[in-house]
Amino acid sequence: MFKNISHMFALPVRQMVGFSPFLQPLKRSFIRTTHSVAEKAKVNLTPLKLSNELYAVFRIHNRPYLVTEGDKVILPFKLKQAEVGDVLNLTDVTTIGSRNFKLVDEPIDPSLYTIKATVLEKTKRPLRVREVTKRRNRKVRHAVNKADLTILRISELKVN
Amino acid sequence: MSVLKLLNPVRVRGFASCARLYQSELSSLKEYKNTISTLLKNPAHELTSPNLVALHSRLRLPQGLSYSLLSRCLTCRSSGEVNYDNVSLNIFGKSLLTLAVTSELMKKYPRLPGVVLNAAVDAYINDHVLSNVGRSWGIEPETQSVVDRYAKKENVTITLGKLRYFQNSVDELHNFTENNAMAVAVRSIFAAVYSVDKDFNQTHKFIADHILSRKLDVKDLFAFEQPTRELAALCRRQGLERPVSKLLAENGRLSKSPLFIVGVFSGEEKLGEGYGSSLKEAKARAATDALLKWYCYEPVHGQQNVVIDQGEVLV
Amino acid sequence: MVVKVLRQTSIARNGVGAFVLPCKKITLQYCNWGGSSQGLRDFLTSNRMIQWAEKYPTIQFEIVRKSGHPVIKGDYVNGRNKAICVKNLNIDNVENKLKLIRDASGEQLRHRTKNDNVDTLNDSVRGIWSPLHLSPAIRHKV
Repeated sequence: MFKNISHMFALPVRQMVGFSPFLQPLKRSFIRTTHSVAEKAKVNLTPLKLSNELYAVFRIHNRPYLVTEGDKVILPFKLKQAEVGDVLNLTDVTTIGSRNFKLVDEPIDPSLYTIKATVLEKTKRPLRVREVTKRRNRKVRHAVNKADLTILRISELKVN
Repeated sequence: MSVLKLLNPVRVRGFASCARLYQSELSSLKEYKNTISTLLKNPAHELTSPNLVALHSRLRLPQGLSYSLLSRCLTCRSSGEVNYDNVSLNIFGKSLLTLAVTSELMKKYPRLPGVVLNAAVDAYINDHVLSNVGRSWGIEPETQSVVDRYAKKENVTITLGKLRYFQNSVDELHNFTENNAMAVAVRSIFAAVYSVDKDFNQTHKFIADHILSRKLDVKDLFAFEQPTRELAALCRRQGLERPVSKLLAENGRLSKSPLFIVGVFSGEEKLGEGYGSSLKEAKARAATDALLKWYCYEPVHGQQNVVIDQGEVLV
Repeated sequence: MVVKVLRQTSIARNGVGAFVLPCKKITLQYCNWGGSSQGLRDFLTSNRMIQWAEKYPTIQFEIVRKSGHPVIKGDYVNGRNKAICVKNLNIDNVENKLKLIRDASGEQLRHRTKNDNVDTLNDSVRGIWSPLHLSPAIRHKV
C-alpha cells in the first residue's frame, strides 16, 4: 500500500532549528513503504532517526491511538491478558512520524520500531444510571452502567 | 503530660504509689525507646517491618540494601535518634542527584545558559519535587509521638518503616516541614542505593528511572526581557548576519483583532517565527522563538561531537 | 541583560522508567462473629491470602478484627483510599473485590468525553495547522 505525504510539503512547513549546524532542514523526500520484503529492506529511516520527537499511531482492537512518548492511553475495556505493571510490546502500528516525515504501512514491520506501554491501572468509568422510559407508560427502568477502562502509559517509542 | 494519661485514675490515690507507678511506666517507656534504637542500629539483627519490606520491593532496591539501612534513611536527625540518622546520607544523595541530573541535562541541552540549567536541575530535584517522589513511593510519615505509640502498645517495627522527623510534636521543629523531611529521606535512599551498588552507572539508572523520567519542558523556564536585542547580540557573536524581521502574513490589519505573522531572518536563513496582534508583539515573539531554538537545541541521540556552547549572550 | 528564569516543577510520569504500584496497603477488616463476614473469613483462612501476600510483596496487608460488616480498604500513593464493603459475599467475590482494589490507582473515577483517549504532556509533534501559512493565492482574506 502506498501512501504519499508529499502534499504536506506544498505548505510552507515551519523549519526545524534553523541555524544549528546539525539540524539542517531535512531533505524533502517522502518515505514510501510496501509489503514486499525486498522493498522493506530499503526503508530509509534516517529522517525519523534524526528527529528528537516522534509520534506513532497504533491500533488495539482496530481502534487507532495517536501517541507520543509518555502519553497515557485510555482503553475502553478491561485488558484481561495483562496485569497492572506489565509492559506491552505494541506491534500493530500504522504510522510513525516526526514533524516533517512519516512512515506509513498496514502494519509497519515490527522490527523497524520499539513501542512499549506499561499497564498503569484497570479502573472503571463512574457509575451512571440512565432512566429508560417509554412514551405514555409510567414505568421507568433504571439502566445502570459502570464500564471498565484500562490505562496504559507509553514508556518507550523509538525507531530501531 | 501524656504519660499521666496512662495512669489508671483509680490507682492514683496516694502520692507515693503514684510516684512508684510513674517511675515504672517511665522506665518501660525508656525501654520501648531503646528497643527502637537497638533494632535500628544493629545490622546483624534482622529487622522486618511490614512497611520496610513493602517499600524495599516497591522500589526494587538492590538485595544488599538492608532494612536497617533503609530505616536509617527514613530517620531524620530531628527525630532525636542519636548518632544514627540520615544527615550524611542526605548530603551524599544530594550530590549524587545533582551530578546525575546536571550531566543528563547538559548532554541533552548543551546550549542551556547557566541560570536556566540551574533552574532546570532545581525543577527535577527541589524539596517539593522530591517530597512528591517520596509520597509516590508510598513513604508514610510518622504522625504519633513516642509516648502515644507506647500507650497504644504499637509494635516497634511499624515506626521504623515510617518517616520519623519529630520527637514529640511537629511544633517543636523550626523551618523543617514534613516536605523537607520527605525530601531528605528520598535523597538518602539514592545515596544508600549507591553505597550498596558501588557503581555509578547502576545508581544513574535508578535516578533516571525515578527522577529523569519526569516531564519538564525547558522552554517554560526562559523569560526574555529584550529578545530582539539579545538575538542581535547572539548573531553578532556567532558571526551570522544581522537578524531582520519580515512580515510573512497578516490578517485584519484594520479590524479590532488583527493578526500578524513575523519571521526573523539572518540573511536567507529563517531563525524563528512569531505571531501577535501587533507588529511589535509578533516581532518580539519571533525573536524569542529564535532564541529558544538556539538555547534549547538538542543534539540527535547518539550524535558524536556535541557542540558545547560558549554560554549565554550578554547584552 | 542576562536570561531570566521562571521556576517550574517537573511532572511525574509513573511507568516511564520505573513503575510503582499505586496500591500501597490493603486492610482486610472482618468480624469473628457475624455471618456477613463468612466469605472474608474463608478467604483469610484459605491458602489464597498467603498466595496474595507472596505474589504482591509491594503491597502491605493488614488484617483487622472489628465487629460489624467486613470491609476491604486500599490505601494509595496519592493519599486517597478506596473502601469496599464485602458483606455476604462468598470467597470468590471477595477475591474479585480485592483485585479491583489492587488494580486501581486511587484516583477518583471521572467521566471522559467520547474519543478523548490519549492524555499527553507533550507538544504536538506535527505542529498546529495555521490558515495563515497557506499560499497567499488561496488564503482567506478579511
